[in-house]
Amino acid sequence: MPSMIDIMKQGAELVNNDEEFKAQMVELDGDIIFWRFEDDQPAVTSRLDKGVIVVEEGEHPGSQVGMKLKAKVLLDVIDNSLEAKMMYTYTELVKGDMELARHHVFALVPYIFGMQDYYDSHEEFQKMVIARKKECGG
Amino acid sequence: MTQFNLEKEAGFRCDTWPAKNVPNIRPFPEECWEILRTLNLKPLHGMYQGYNMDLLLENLESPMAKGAVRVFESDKIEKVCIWWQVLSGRSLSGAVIGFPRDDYDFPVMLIDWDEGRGPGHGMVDHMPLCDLVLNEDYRLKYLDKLDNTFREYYDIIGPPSLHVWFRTLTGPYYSFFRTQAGGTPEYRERILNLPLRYLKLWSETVKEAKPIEDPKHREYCIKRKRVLQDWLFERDPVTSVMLRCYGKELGSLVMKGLS
Repeated sequence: MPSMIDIMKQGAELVNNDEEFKAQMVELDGDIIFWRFEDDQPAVTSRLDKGVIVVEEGEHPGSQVGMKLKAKVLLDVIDNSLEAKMMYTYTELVKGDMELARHHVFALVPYIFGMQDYYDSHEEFQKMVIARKKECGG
Repeated sequence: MTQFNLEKEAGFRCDTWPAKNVPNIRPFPEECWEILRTLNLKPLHGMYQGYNMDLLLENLESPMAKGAVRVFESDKIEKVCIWWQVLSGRSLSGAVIGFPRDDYDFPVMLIDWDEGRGPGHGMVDHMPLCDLVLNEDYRLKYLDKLDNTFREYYDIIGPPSLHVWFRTLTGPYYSFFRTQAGGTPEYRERILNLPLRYLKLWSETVKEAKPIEDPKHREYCIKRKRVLQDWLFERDPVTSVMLRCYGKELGSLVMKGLS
């Protein structure tokens, strides 16, 4: 069964190799966000490194923002059943404040939209999301 | 067939920037403009509250976002803006925000709209410029005309914005709505009509508005309008998006156009 880090790594790989999203991320650098899932291990850090999304295990100490949420929230965003902007409604900030979150999480817009695209077009990625969501009761 | 004049008169169309996978994009800014253009608007040029509005005549472009903010004025309207943006080539945002000149006390028009291929949300209001308990006549004169529309759309309204500072600015006919409920094209079309209904009623209010006669009431409304504008400028979550997309200078200018 895939965990959230598997899904997020697969999503990052797809988005990092997509010319359209690469162009959107070209100026992004240094945004570090960790994701503490209430119902999934391990925690995940996503960071922008010179226009590339890097997904790593654990809570990066240099993160500007840390978010605590249920796995289903991010999965709902990926499969397009929850509006991405509404993610904050179901998220507790455990590091940083809302101002920092809006600034840094915004850098993930191409990544999020990219994963939504690939949910529709990449069978393997979609299967991972559906399987994990099913396990979450979604 | 309706002939929209937005492109000719404001320099952009809703499909100037493509939005991938967003189904059946309705010409929402065009439809808003058809109502706004009846208010004898002219482009707002030069300095406005310390910002050069002429710079907003250019379309906005960054790697992640593309769009336009256009600002206008009239003999009764201090500023009304129409905003349209495509984020990451996939998500649409739009707004119409209008403020009266200092000699008028009619409510502030607010439309905000966000949607992509999945669920979206929006809000609409006529924001009062005075306390409605001490000035019940204001509600009767300016706001209760929304009552029938509010009742007609009561099934889709709510829950409200999570921003408490914003809720304190809103009027009794503030409506927040989401586009996923129901989910059918007919439902979406119906929702999109709600902001247009509010805008049409606001345009009628503007046309009928007379200058304020009581100097104390005038000063009170100006004070409240400035606080409302400051809060929108400083606190609206979209501020951080604009600053991130367009940088501090242009992002702040865009927010001044929107607030």
